[in-house]
Amino acid sequence: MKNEWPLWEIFIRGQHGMSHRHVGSLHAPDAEMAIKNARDVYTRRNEGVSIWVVEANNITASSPSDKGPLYEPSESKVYRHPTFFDIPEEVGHM
Amino acid sequence: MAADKDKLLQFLLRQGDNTLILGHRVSEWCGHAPVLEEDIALANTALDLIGQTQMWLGYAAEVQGEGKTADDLAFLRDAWDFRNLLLVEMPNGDFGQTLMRQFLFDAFQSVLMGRVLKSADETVRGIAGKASKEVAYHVERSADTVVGLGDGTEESHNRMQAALDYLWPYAGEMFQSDEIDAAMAEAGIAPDPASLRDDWDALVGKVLADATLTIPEGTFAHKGGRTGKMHTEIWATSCPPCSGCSAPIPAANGNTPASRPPRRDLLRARRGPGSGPGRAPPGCRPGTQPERKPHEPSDGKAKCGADLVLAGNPAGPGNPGDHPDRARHYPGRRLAG
Repeated sequence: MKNEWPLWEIFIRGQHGMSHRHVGSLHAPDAEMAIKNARDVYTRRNEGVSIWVVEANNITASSPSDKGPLYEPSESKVYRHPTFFDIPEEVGHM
Repeated sequence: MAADKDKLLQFLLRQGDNTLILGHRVSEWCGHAPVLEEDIALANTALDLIGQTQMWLGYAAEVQGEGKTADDLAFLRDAWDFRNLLLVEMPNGDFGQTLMRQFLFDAFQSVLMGRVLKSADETVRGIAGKASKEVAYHVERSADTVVGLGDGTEESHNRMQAALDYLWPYAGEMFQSDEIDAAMAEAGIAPDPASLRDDWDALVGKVLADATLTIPEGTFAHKGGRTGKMHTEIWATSCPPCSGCSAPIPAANGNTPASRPPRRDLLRARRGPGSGPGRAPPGCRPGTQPERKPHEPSDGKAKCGADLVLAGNPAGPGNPGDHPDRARHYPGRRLAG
């Protein structure tokens, strides 16, 4: 039998209209308790309006050793930044 | 509403003393809970309870009309002047016993606060409005934990059953009515506690069944806490924020202080050194509840409980970082959440 509670990654929405952001992780026996623990650990100073919890082992992460093939090719493609377009005044803020 | 002022005061003291003593008890876990998450959760609960205490005793002081404050009532009364249920002064025991005590009380509070939301007294209604949200969370959390531990391993189950067997005889006091309760019910301020029993039984029965725990047989109930007739020995010796166990201490300069010691604000008192769980602070007299005697002057007496109370609700409303010591106690933007 496993005696360790699983690890949960905690995401908090700070305000309505914002996206949930990763704030940290904690241990809990199940998802319900993970939400309660997250409420107690991460929202006690009025930081949030919504909580997501995801069991850490359900997250698939990219491997740091793949950073060459994954990220380096985009370093030399400045034309992907839309900074070469002149935006007409009348368009306003985009 | 035309409730007798003294009876209203007694009612408010009962409410405030319940949350004060339980808040104090729960705060003893701070830094000692089995896992970080539970530690923070218990500290939050303790702070909620102290916050509620401030409201109840604040109103009590107002009703009393002697110019006292919530702090005076919390710290400057003698042990036998407290009107809390015996249940809340029971020792923490192991984590399971603490959570069982918490659940039995939370369940009672959740039923009570639901009714008090309709109180005829505007201030009482306001307090219930704020407290009921906290209580709703407390009972959800403690019920979940009771189920998790009761229906957990063999060891956790046995510990929870032992905790239930130990605490159950103290549950009955919550529902014992007297003339103060009758007056509150008549004035529409609060329900007769006896009328809460069915709802409490239903809630507690369901949770304990889910927890695979067996409610002890027998209807014996300890009583006397809320009427002030008796308190438990463990309470008198482990010293809640009473001044009954006051002892003379020399002032820093070696002289007996001439005036009353500085007021220990609920929001500002610090934890004193050596305040581990169940440890009597220096100056506490061992032994049972002392015989009733005229109040001694408080001059030159240490209010030994004051340092023990984990005071204040940093997250609570109306408490911005207004105290110079805050910087010392809460160094960073956040302290572990």
